[in-house]
Amino acid sequence: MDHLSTAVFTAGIMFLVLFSMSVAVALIITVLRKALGRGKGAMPGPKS
Amino acid sequence: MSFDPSQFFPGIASFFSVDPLYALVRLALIGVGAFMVWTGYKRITEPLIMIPMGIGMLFVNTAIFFINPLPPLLPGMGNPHLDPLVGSNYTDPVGSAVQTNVALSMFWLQPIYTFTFLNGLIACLVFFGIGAITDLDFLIARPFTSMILAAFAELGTVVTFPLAIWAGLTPGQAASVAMVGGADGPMVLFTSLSLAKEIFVPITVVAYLYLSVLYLFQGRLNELTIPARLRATYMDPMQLPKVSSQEKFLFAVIVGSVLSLLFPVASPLFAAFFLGNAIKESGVERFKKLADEVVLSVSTLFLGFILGVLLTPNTVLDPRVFLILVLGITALVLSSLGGSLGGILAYYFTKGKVNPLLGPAGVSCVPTTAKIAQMNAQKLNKKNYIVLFCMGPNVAGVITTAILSAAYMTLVPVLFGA
Repeated sequence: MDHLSTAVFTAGIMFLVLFSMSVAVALIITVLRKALGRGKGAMPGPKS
Repeated sequence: MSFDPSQFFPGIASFFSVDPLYALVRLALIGVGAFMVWTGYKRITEPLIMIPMGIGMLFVNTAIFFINPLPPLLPGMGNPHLDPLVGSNYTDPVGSAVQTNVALSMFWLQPIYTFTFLNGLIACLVFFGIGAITDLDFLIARPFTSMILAAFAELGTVVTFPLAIWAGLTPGQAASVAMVGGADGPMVLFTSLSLAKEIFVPITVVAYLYLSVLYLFQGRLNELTIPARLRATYMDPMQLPKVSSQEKFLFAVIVGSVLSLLFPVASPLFAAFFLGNAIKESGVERFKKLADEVVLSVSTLFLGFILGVLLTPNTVLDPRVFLILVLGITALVLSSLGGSLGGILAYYFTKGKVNPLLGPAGVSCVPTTAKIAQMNAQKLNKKNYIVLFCMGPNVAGVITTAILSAAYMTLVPVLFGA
Protein backbone atom coordinates (compact mmCIF):
# COMPACT_ATOMS: atom_id res chain seq x y z
CA MET A 1 0.00 0.00 0.00
CA ASP A 2 1.27 3.50 -0.73
CA HIS A 3 1.20 6.24 1.90
CA LEU A 4 -2.11 7.72 0.76
CA SER A 5 -3.97 4.40 0.88
CA THR A 6 -2.47 3.69 4.30
CA ALA A 7 -3.58 7.17 5.40
CA VAL A 8 -7.16 6.57 4.28
CA PHE A 9 -7.08 3.18 6.02
CA THR A 10 -5.71 4.88 9.17
CA ALA A 11 -8.49 7.49 9.04
CA GLY A 12 -11.02 4.64 8.93
CA ILE A 13 -9.44 3.03 11.98
CA MET A 14 -9.38 6.40 13.72
CA PHE A 15 -13.14 6.81 13.25
CA LEU A 16 -13.68 3.32 14.60
CA VAL A 17 -11.44 3.94 17.62
CA LEU A 18 -13.04 7.34 18.22
CA PHE A 19 -16.65 6.19 18.25
CA SER A 20 -16.02 2.92 20.10
CA MET A 21 -13.99 4.69 22.79
CA SER A 22 -16.62 7.41 23.10
CA VAL A 23 -19.30 4.80 23.65
CA ALA A 24 -17.01 2.97 26.10
CA VAL A 25 -16.45 6.12 28.18
CA ALA A 26 -20.20 6.84 28.14
CA LEU A 27 -20.86 3.26 29.25
CA ILE A 28 -18.37 3.52 32.12
CA ILE A 29 -20.09 6.70 33.32
CA THR A 30 -23.53 5.08 33.05
CA VAL A 31 -22.44 1.99 34.98
CA LEU A 32 -20.77 4.18 37.58
CA ARG A 33 -23.92 6.24 38.05
CA LYS A 34 -26.07 3.12 38.24
CA ALA A 35 -23.71 1.69 40.88
CA LEU A 36 -24.13 4.88 42.88
CA GLY A 37 -27.91 4.69 42.46
CA ARG A 38 -28.19 7.75 40.21
CA GLY A 39 -28.85 8.32 36.55
CA LYS A 40 -32.59 8.84 36.64
CA GLY A 41 -32.57 12.59 35.97
CA ALA A 42 -35.08 13.92 33.45
CA MET A 43 -33.84 14.57 29.94
CA PRO A 44 -33.71 18.30 29.49
CA GLY A 45 -36.56 18.96 27.11
CA PRO A 46 -38.07 21.78 25.11
CA LYS A 47 -40.30 24.28 26.86
CA SER A 48 -42.72 26.69 25.27
CA MET B 1 40.19 54.23 15.80
CA SER B 2 37.22 53.82 13.46
CA PHE B 3 33.59 54.37 14.42
CA ASP B 4 31.02 51.98 12.97
CA PRO B 5 27.41 52.90 13.96
CA SER B 6 26.20 49.41 13.04
CA GLN B 7 28.10 48.03 16.03
CA PHE B 8 26.03 50.21 18.34
CA PHE B 9 22.72 49.28 16.73
CA PRO B 10 23.20 45.69 15.54
CA GLY B 11 19.41 45.09 15.53
CA ILE B 12 18.91 47.78 12.89
CA ALA B 13 22.10 46.98 11.01
CA SER B 14 21.06 43.33 10.66
CA PHE B 15 18.16 44.41 8.43
CA PHE B 16 20.70 45.40 5.78
CA SER B 17 23.12 42.52 6.16
CA VAL B 18 20.71 39.70 5.34
CA ASP B 19 18.70 38.49 2.37
CA PRO B 20 15.97 41.12 1.58
CA LEU B 21 13.24 38.47 1.87
CA TYR B 22 14.43 37.60 5.40
CA ALA B 23 14.41 41.31 6.32
CA LEU B 24 10.93 41.77 4.86
CA VAL B 25 9.51 38.78 6.71
CA ARG B 26 11.10 40.07 9.90
CA LEU B 27 9.43 43.46 9.40
CA ALA B 28 6.12 41.74 8.67
CA LEU B 29 6.43 39.67 11.86
CA ILE B 30 7.04 42.83 13.88
CA GLY B 31 3.85 44.25 12.35
CA VAL B 32 1.86 41.07 12.99
CA GLY B 33 3.14 40.93 16.58
CA ALA B 34 2.00 44.50 17.21
CA PHE B 35 -1.37 43.72 15.59
CA MET B 36 -1.82 40.64 17.79
CA VAL B 37 -1.10 42.64 20.94
CA TRP B 38 -3.61 45.29 19.88
CA THR B 39 -6.39 42.81 18.96
CA GLY B 40 -5.80 41.00 22.26
CA TYR B 41 -5.94 44.26 24.18
CA LYS B 42 -9.17 45.20 22.43
CA ARG B 43 -10.58 41.71 23.14
CA ILE B 44 -11.07 41.08 19.39
CA THR B 45 -8.95 37.94 19.84
CA GLU B 46 -8.20 35.88 22.96
CA PRO B 47 -6.04 38.18 25.17
CA LEU B 48 -4.67 35.37 27.35
CA ILE B 49 -2.71 34.00 24.40
CA MET B 50 -2.53 36.88 21.95
CA ILE B 51 -0.95 39.48 24.25
CA PRO B 52 2.01 37.33 25.42
CA MET B 53 2.43 35.77 21.96
CA GLY B 54 2.36 39.15 20.22
CA ILE B 55 4.81 40.65 22.72
CA GLY B 56 7.10 37.65 22.23
CA MET B 57 7.00 38.10 18.44
CA LEU B 58 7.68 41.83 18.75
CA PHE B 59 10.62 41.47 21.08
CA VAL B 60 12.29 38.57 19.31
CA ASN B 61 12.05 40.07 15.84
CA THR B 62 13.27 43.49 16.91
CA ALA B 63 16.26 41.85 18.59
CA ILE B 64 17.66 39.73 15.76
CA PHE B 65 21.34 40.37 15.15
CA PHE B 66 24.57 38.58 14.32
CA ILE B 67 25.49 36.56 17.39
CA ASN B 68 28.97 35.20 17.98
CA PRO B 69 28.30 32.96 21.00
CA LEU B 70 30.54 30.79 23.11
CA PRO B 71 31.67 27.59 21.41
CA PRO B 72 30.32 25.02 20.64
CA LEU B 73 27.33 27.24 19.75
CA LEU B 74 27.56 28.37 16.15
CA PRO B 75 27.76 32.02 15.09
CA GLY B 76 24.96 33.42 12.92
CA MET B 77 21.74 35.41 12.94
CA GLY B 78 20.04 34.86 16.26
CA ASN B 79 18.40 36.56 19.22
CA PRO B 80 19.28 36.97 22.90
CA HIS B 81 16.14 35.13 24.11
CA LEU B 82 16.63 31.51 23.06
CA ASP B 83 18.00 29.21 20.38
CA PRO B 84 15.39 26.62 19.34
CA LEU B 85 17.84 24.68 17.19
CA VAL B 86 20.37 24.11 19.93
CA GLY B 87 21.60 20.54 20.01
CA SER B 88 19.86 19.64 16.76
CA ASN B 89 22.98 20.03 14.55
CA TYR B 90 24.84 17.36 16.50
CA THR B 91 24.41 13.70 15.83
CA ASP B 92 26.15 12.45 18.96
CA PRO B 93 24.30 12.91 22.27
CA VAL B 94 27.39 14.22 24.10
CA GLY B 95 27.97 17.07 21.65
CA SER B 96 24.29 17.91 21.74
CA ALA B 97 24.27 17.93 25.55
CA VAL B 98 27.34 20.19 25.74
CA GLN B 99 25.77 22.63 23.28
CA THR B 100 22.50 22.63 25.22
CA ASN B 101 24.36 23.30 28.46
CA VAL B 102 26.09 26.34 26.99
CA ALA B 103 22.79 27.64 25.63
CA LEU B 104 21.16 27.17 29.04
CA SER B 105 23.71 29.49 30.57
CA MET B 106 23.48 32.05 27.73
CA PHE B 107 19.79 32.59 26.91
CA TRP B 108 17.32 33.62 29.59
CA LEU B 109 14.35 31.70 28.12
CA GLN B 110 16.36 28.60 27.18
CA PRO B 111 15.68 26.82 30.52
CA ILE B 112 11.91 27.22 30.11
CA TYR B 113 12.08 26.07 26.48
CA THR B 114 14.34 23.09 27.15
CA PHE B 115 12.74 21.90 30.38
CA THR B 116 9.06 22.58 29.68
CA PHE B 117 8.58 22.61 25.90
CA LEU B 118 10.81 19.87 24.56
CA ASN B 119 9.40 17.27 26.97
CA GLY B 120 5.74 18.38 26.74
CA LEU B 121 5.59 19.55 30.37
CA ILE B 122 4.02 22.89 29.45
CA ALA B 123 1.14 21.09 27.67
CA CYS B 124 0.56 18.93 30.75
CA LEU B 125 0.62 21.97 33.07
CA VAL B 126 -1.99 23.75 30.95
CA PHE B 127 -4.04 20.57 30.91
CA PHE B 128 -3.74 20.26 34.69
CA GLY B 129 -5.12 23.77 35.07
CA ILE B 130 -7.90 23.15 32.55
CA GLY B 131 -8.87 20.00 34.47
CA ALA B 132 -9.15 22.07 37.64
CA ILE B 133 -11.66 24.50 36.10
CA THR B 134 -13.69 22.02 34.08
CA ASP B 135 -17.22 21.20 35.15
CA LEU B 136 -18.35 17.70 34.24
CA ASP B 137 -22.03 17.97 35.22
CA PHE B 138 -23.72 17.56 31.85
CA LEU B 139 -21.11 15.10 30.57
CA ILE B 140 -21.83 12.79 33.52
CA ALA B 141 -25.58 13.40 33.47
CA ARG B 142 -25.87 12.74 29.72
CA PRO B 143 -22.73 10.79 28.79
CA PHE B 144 -23.92 9.30 25.48
CA THR B 145 -25.20 12.61 24.07
CA SER B 146 -22.01 14.41 25.12
CA MET B 147 -19.51 11.81 23.94
CA ILE B 148 -21.18 11.10 20.59
CA LEU B 149 -21.56 14.80 19.80
CA ALA B 150 -17.90 15.33 20.67
CA ALA B 151 -16.94 12.43 18.40
CA PHE B 152 -18.81 14.07 15.50
CA ALA B 153 -16.94 17.30 16.21
CA GLU B 154 -13.65 15.50 15.51
CA LEU B 155 -14.43 15.11 11.80
CA GLY B 156 -11.58 17.45 10.81
CA THR B 157 -9.09 15.72 13.11
CA VAL B 158 -9.58 12.49 11.21
CA VAL B 159 -10.29 13.63 7.62
CA THR B 160 -7.39 16.11 7.49
CA PHE B 161 -4.87 13.31 8.07
CA PRO B 162 -5.14 11.71 4.59
CA LEU B 163 -5.53 15.19 3.07
CA ALA B 164 -2.23 16.26 4.62
CA ILE B 165 -0.49 13.09 3.39
CA TRP B 166 -1.88 13.80 -0.08
CA ALA B 167 -0.52 17.36 0.19
CA GLY B 168 2.96 15.97 0.77
CA LEU B 169 3.50 16.00 4.55
CA THR B 170 5.08 13.03 6.29
CA PRO B 171 2.70 10.83 8.35
CA GLY B 172 3.92 12.33 11.65
CA GLN B 173 3.53 15.89 10.36
CA ALA B 174 0.11 15.04 8.87
CA ALA B 175 -1.16 13.62 12.17
CA SER B 176 0.14 16.66 14.06
CA VAL B 177 -1.51 19.18 11.77
CA ALA B 178 -4.73 17.13 11.76
CA MET B 179 -4.84 17.56 15.54
CA VAL B 180 -5.60 21.26 14.97
CA GLY B 181 -9.13 20.02 14.22
CA GLY B 182 -9.41 18.97 17.85
CA ALA B 183 -9.07 22.67 18.77
CA ASP B 184 -6.99 21.85 21.81
CA GLY B 185 -3.69 23.74 21.93
CA PRO B 186 -1.83 21.61 24.51
CA MET B 187 -2.83 18.45 22.65
CA VAL B 188 -1.46 19.79 19.35
CA LEU B 189 1.79 20.69 21.09
CA PHE B 190 2.06 17.29 22.77
CA THR B 191 1.31 15.32 19.57
CA SER B 192 3.62 17.35 17.35
CA LEU B 193 6.46 17.07 19.89
CA SER B 194 6.03 13.32 19.71
CA LEU B 195 5.46 12.88 15.97
CA ALA B 196 6.91 15.93 14.18
CA LYS B 197 9.43 17.65 16.42
CA GLU B 198 11.00 19.39 13.41
CA ILE B 199 7.90 21.50 12.78
CA PHE B 200 6.19 21.58 16.18
CA VAL B 201 6.65 25.36 16.39
CA PRO B 202 4.68 26.37 13.24
CA ILE B 203 2.00 23.74 13.89
CA THR B 204 1.43 24.84 17.50
CA VAL B 205 1.53 28.54 16.62
CA VAL B 206 -0.99 28.01 13.81
CA ALA B 207 -3.22 26.03 16.20
CA TYR B 208 -3.17 28.78 18.83
CA LEU B 209 -3.63 31.46 16.22
CA TYR B 210 -6.77 29.80 14.89
CA LEU B 211 -8.10 29.02 18.37
CA SER B 212 -7.68 32.67 19.30
CA VAL B 213 -9.78 33.83 16.38
CA LEU B 214 -12.27 30.96 16.57
CA TYR B 215 -15.09 33.13 17.81
CA LEU B 216 -14.70 35.40 14.80
CA PHE B 217 -15.93 32.71 12.44
CA GLN B 218 -17.46 29.71 14.23
CA GLY B 219 -20.67 31.53 15.16
CA ARG B 220 -21.24 32.42 11.51
CA LEU B 221 -20.48 28.83 10.50
CA ASN B 222 -23.09 27.56 13.01
CA GLU B 223 -25.67 29.93 11.55
CA LEU B 224 -24.90 28.76 8.02
CA THR B 225 -25.14 25.05 8.82
CA ILE B 226 -27.97 24.84 11.38
CA PRO B 227 -31.42 26.23 10.45
CA ALA B 228 -32.71 29.03 12.74
CA ARG B 229 -35.77 26.96 13.74
CA LEU B 230 -33.47 24.28 15.16
CA ARG B 231 -31.09 26.76 16.80
CA ALA B 232 -34.05 28.25 18.65
CA THR B 233 -34.73 24.96 20.51
CA TYR B 234 -35.21 25.86 24.17
CA MET B 235 -33.43 23.86 26.87
CA ASP B 236 -34.47 24.48 30.44
CA PRO B 237 -31.42 24.80 32.75
CA MET B 238 -33.63 23.92 35.72
CA GLN B 239 -33.98 20.43 34.27
CA LEU B 240 -30.24 19.86 34.25
CA PRO B 241 -29.81 16.72 36.38
CA LYS B 242 -27.83 17.13 39.57
CA VAL B 243 -24.46 15.37 39.73
CA SER B 244 -22.72 15.02 43.06
CA SER B 245 -19.05 15.83 43.72
CA GLN B 246 -18.50 12.19 44.63
CA GLU B 247 -19.66 11.07 41.16
CA LYS B 248 -17.43 13.61 39.47
CA PHE B 249 -14.46 12.62 41.63
CA LEU B 250 -14.98 8.91 40.89
CA PHE B 251 -15.37 9.72 37.19
CA ALA B 252 -12.01 11.53 37.14
CA VAL B 253 -10.22 8.68 38.88
CA ILE B 254 -11.82 5.74 37.05
CA VAL B 255 -12.16 7.13 33.50
CA GLY B 256 -8.69 8.67 33.71
CA SER B 257 -7.15 5.35 34.76
CA VAL B 258 -8.98 3.38 32.06
CA LEU B 259 -7.90 5.82 29.33
CA SER B 260 -4.34 5.69 30.62
CA LEU B 261 -4.43 1.90 30.49
CA LEU B 262 -5.77 1.92 26.92
CA PHE B 263 -3.48 4.67 25.60
CA PRO B 264 -0.25 4.76 27.64
CA VAL B 265 1.46 7.19 25.22
CA ALA B 266 -1.02 9.92 26.16
CA SER B 267 -0.99 9.00 29.86
CA PRO B 268 0.81 12.25 30.84
CA LEU B 269 -2.06 14.28 29.36
CA PHE B 270 -4.74 12.11 30.97
CA ALA B 271 -2.91 12.20 34.30
CA ALA B 272 -2.57 15.99 34.23
CA PHE B 273 -6.19 16.64 33.22
CA PHE B 274 -7.81 14.17 35.61
CA LEU B 275 -5.50 15.12 38.49
CA GLY B 276 -6.69 18.71 38.08
CA ASN B 277 -10.27 17.53 37.92
CA ALA B 278 -9.96 15.22 40.92
CA ILE B 279 -8.45 18.11 42.92
CA LYS B 280 -11.37 20.34 41.94
CA GLU B 281 -13.92 17.76 43.07
CA SER B 282 -12.04 16.74 46.21
CA GLY B 283 -12.60 20.21 47.64
CA VAL B 284 -8.99 20.67 48.72
CA GLU B 285 -9.05 24.45 48.35
CA ARG B 286 -5.30 24.91 48.65
CA PHE B 287 -4.56 22.64 45.65
CA LYS B 288 -7.53 24.00 43.73
CA LYS B 289 -6.24 27.56 44.02
CA LEU B 290 -2.75 26.43 43.07
CA ALA B 291 -3.98 24.67 39.92
CA ASP B 292 -6.39 27.35 38.79
CA GLU B 293 -4.79 30.63 39.85
CA VAL B 294 -1.10 29.74 39.68
CA VAL B 295 -0.32 26.78 37.42
CA LEU B 296 -2.84 27.57 34.66
CA SER B 297 -1.99 31.27 34.62
CA VAL B 298 1.79 30.81 34.63
CA SER B 299 1.79 28.01 32.04
CA THR B 300 -0.61 29.86 29.70
CA LEU B 301 1.51 33.01 29.96
CA PHE B 302 4.78 31.23 29.15
CA LEU B 303 3.18 29.07 26.48
CA GLY B 304 1.98 32.15 24.60
CA PHE B 305 5.17 34.12 25.18
CA ILE B 306 7.60 31.36 24.14
CA LEU B 307 5.52 30.51 21.06
CA GLY B 308 5.79 34.18 20.10
CA VAL B 309 9.54 34.16 20.69
CA LEU B 310 9.84 31.12 18.43
CA LEU B 311 8.17 32.98 15.55
CA THR B 312 11.20 34.32 13.73
CA PRO B 313 11.79 34.51 9.94
CA ASN B 314 13.59 31.15 10.19
CA THR B 315 10.31 29.54 11.28
CA VAL B 316 8.01 31.40 8.90
CA LEU B 317 10.22 30.96 5.81
CA ASP B 318 9.77 27.19 6.08
CA PRO B 319 7.82 26.29 2.89
CA ARG B 320 5.60 23.95 4.91
CA VAL B 321 4.10 26.84 6.91
CA PHE B 322 1.64 27.83 4.17
CA LEU B 323 0.50 24.20 3.93
CA ILE B 324 0.06 24.05 7.71
CA LEU B 325 -2.03 27.23 7.63
CA VAL B 326 -4.33 25.82 4.93
CA LEU B 327 -4.62 22.35 6.50
CA GLY B 328 -5.11 23.79 10.00
CA ILE B 329 -8.11 25.88 9.05
CA THR B 330 -9.46 22.97 6.96
CA ALA B 331 -9.30 20.72 10.02
CA LEU B 332 -11.00 23.26 12.25
CA VAL B 333 -13.80 24.06 9.78
CA LEU B 334 -14.42 20.35 9.09
CA SER B 335 -14.66 19.65 12.82
CA SER B 336 -17.14 22.45 13.23
CA LEU B 337 -19.20 21.11 10.31
CA GLY B 338 -19.04 17.60 11.80
CA GLY B 339 -20.29 19.04 15.09
CA SER B 340 -23.21 20.73 13.33
CA LEU B 341 -24.09 17.45 11.58
CA GLY B 342 -23.96 15.58 14.90
CA GLY B 343 -26.10 18.27 16.54
CA ILE B 344 -28.77 18.08 13.84
CA LEU B 345 -28.84 14.28 14.06
CA ALA B 346 -29.14 14.51 17.87
CA TYR B 347 -32.02 16.98 17.48
CA TYR B 348 -34.03 14.58 15.32
CA PHE B 349 -32.96 11.48 17.25
CA THR B 350 -34.21 12.97 20.54
CA LYS B 351 -37.34 14.37 18.82
CA GLY B 352 -36.31 17.98 19.30
CA LYS B 353 -35.10 17.79 22.90
CA VAL B 354 -31.48 18.66 22.12
CA ASN B 355 -30.51 22.02 20.65
CA PRO B 356 -28.25 21.21 17.65
CA LEU B 357 -25.86 23.96 18.75
CA LEU B 358 -24.56 21.45 21.31
CA GLY B 359 -22.86 19.75 18.32
CA PRO B 360 -20.36 22.47 17.33
CA ALA B 361 -19.82 23.10 21.05
CA GLY B 362 -18.14 19.66 20.97
CA VAL B 363 -15.15 21.27 19.25
CA SER B 364 -13.11 21.20 22.41
CA CYS B 365 -11.80 24.75 22.70
CA VAL B 366 -12.92 25.04 26.35
CA PRO B 367 -15.05 27.10 26.90
CA THR B 368 -14.96 29.27 23.75
CA THR B 369 -17.09 27.04 21.51
CA ALA B 370 -19.69 26.58 24.27
CA LYS B 371 -19.90 30.36 24.63
CA ILE B 372 -20.25 30.76 20.85
CA ALA B 373 -23.16 28.27 20.83
CA GLN B 374 -24.75 30.19 23.71
CA MET B 375 -24.47 33.46 21.76
CA ASN B 376 -26.02 31.79 18.70
CA ALA B 377 -28.93 30.50 20.77
CA GLN B 378 -29.50 33.76 22.61
CA LYS B 379 -29.65 35.71 19.38
CA LEU B 380 -32.96 33.94 18.69
CA ASN B 381 -34.26 33.70 22.25
CA LYS B 382 -32.87 35.90 25.02
CA LYS B 383 -34.06 33.47 27.72
CA ASN B 384 -32.36 30.41 26.23
CA TYR B 385 -29.36 29.47 28.44
CA ILE B 386 -27.83 26.42 26.79
CA VAL B 387 -24.25 27.05 27.87
CA LEU B 388 -24.47 24.56 30.78
CA PHE B 389 -25.64 21.84 28.38
CA CYS B 390 -22.97 22.84 25.85
CA MET B 391 -20.26 22.21 28.44
CA GLY B 392 -21.07 18.45 28.19
CA PRO B 393 -19.89 17.93 24.60
CA ASN B 394 -17.31 20.68 25.11
CA VAL B 395 -15.56 18.77 27.91
CA ALA B 396 -16.19 15.44 26.19
CA GLY B 397 -14.29 16.99 23.27
CA VAL B 398 -11.19 17.20 25.45
CA ILE B 399 -11.47 13.45 26.05
CA THR B 400 -12.11 12.57 22.37
CA THR B 401 -9.20 14.78 21.28
CA ALA B 402 -6.93 13.06 23.80
CA ILE B 403 -8.12 9.68 22.48
CA LEU B 404 -7.29 10.71 18.91
CA SER B 405 -3.93 12.14 19.94
CA ALA B 406 -3.09 8.87 21.66
CA ALA B 407 -4.34 6.83 18.70
CA TYR B 408 -2.19 8.84 16.27
CA MET B 409 0.89 8.54 18.49
CA THR B 410 0.35 4.77 18.69
CA LEU B 411 -0.82 3.99 15.15
CA VAL B 412 1.34 6.24 12.96
CA PRO B 413 4.69 4.66 13.90
CA VAL B 414 3.14 1.17 13.62
CA LEU B 415 1.43 1.64 10.24
CA PHE B 416 3.98 3.90 8.56
CA GLY B 417 7.17 2.78 10.28
CA ALA B 418 9.04 4.90 12.85
